[in-house]
Amino acid sequence: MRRVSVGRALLGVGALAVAAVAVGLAPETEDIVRPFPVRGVQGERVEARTLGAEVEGIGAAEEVTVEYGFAPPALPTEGFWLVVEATVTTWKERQSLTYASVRVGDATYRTFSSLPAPALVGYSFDPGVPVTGQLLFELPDEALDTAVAEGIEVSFAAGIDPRLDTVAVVEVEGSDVELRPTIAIERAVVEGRG
Amino acid sequence: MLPTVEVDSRETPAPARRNAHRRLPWWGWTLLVAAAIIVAVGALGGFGDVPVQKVPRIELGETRAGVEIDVRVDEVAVTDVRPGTGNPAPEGSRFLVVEALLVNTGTSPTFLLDDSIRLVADRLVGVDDDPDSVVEARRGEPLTFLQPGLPTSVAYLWEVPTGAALPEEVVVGILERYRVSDDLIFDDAYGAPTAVARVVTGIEGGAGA
Repeated sequence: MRRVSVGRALLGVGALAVAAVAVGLAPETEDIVRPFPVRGVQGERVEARTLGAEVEGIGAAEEVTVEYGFAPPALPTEGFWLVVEATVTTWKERQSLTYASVRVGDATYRTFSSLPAPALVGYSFDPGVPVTGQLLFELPDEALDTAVAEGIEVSFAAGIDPRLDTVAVVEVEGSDVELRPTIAIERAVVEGRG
Repeated sequence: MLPTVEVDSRETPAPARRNAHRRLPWWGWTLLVAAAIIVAVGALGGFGDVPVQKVPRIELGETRAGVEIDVRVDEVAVTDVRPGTGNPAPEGSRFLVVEALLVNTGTSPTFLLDDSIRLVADRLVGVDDDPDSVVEARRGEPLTFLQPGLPTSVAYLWEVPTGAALPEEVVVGILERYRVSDDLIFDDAYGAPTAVARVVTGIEGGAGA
């Protein structure tokens, strides 16, 4: 039988150990394809590759009423509604705001997508034409305390998949979250025509 | 004078050759070790039948804490209108509805919704039948995901013919999925959802209610 020297055996074991460490340190696919945030604060326009977004106000309420379309006038919830008033402009082509989310604490919430048209989510934006409207998020009760204490991040992206693309992220102070008994949801309109 | 016989000193001595005949060849050792392993596995019960465990049964209204979602099945009912909207069922059919309260226990929206509940109702609905729609029970809009931490009333709808006889008892299966950590393509891959609990109940508004 061919003899293997101790040195070579140790070299092999060492190579395996290095490979194991490299595999362990390698980023997850989710981290590799994570969107690139372009950050700004409430009241300023944040410009990503495909769109610009400006958050004008944020309110929280246990009840919202939909003032247009065929939706039921009031939307019941087990938690509360976070309503983001924003103006969105796409740059390059006719696109929809298909991805909008808020981050509260360590949790991420997607936007409510069943508002009747015209709403910001699902609106077909002509390039260069700013549209003002509201985004609706349904959150659990305990998220309200976190939102007021720590603030909120609102993310906007056009297109189906925001991965490996820039995303407009607007940071909102917790003290700017306006608590109201009810909030009226209005149709989205081209800015200046409301 | 006797003829001289020359002996080749390189030949193997006779006693050593006899030892070589007695030594077990390599494949003999292999068979022996394999046989020993098989005997040991058998002695430890390795070839016995694996007992098939029934999916645990929970009661209506009892919460089953899951890996991704906590599920509480509240009711199975038959109705002529869609929950939340009051819109009538398509002509000639009505809905078997499983209503459940779900809570996503993670920190991001989960899309395990269509696959979280299954209904077995005699020959009307089988375990492989996906629900025809999944809606928010109070508002009626289609649901595709669950927000983290938000208790959500969900109605799973199966269309059945209006005249079909309903069974006295149905089984609601609660399903769960698990991450596949060594998937070659996706880090976030999941295996097929698996039944983890069942609720046996009657149908509200049906013959057995």
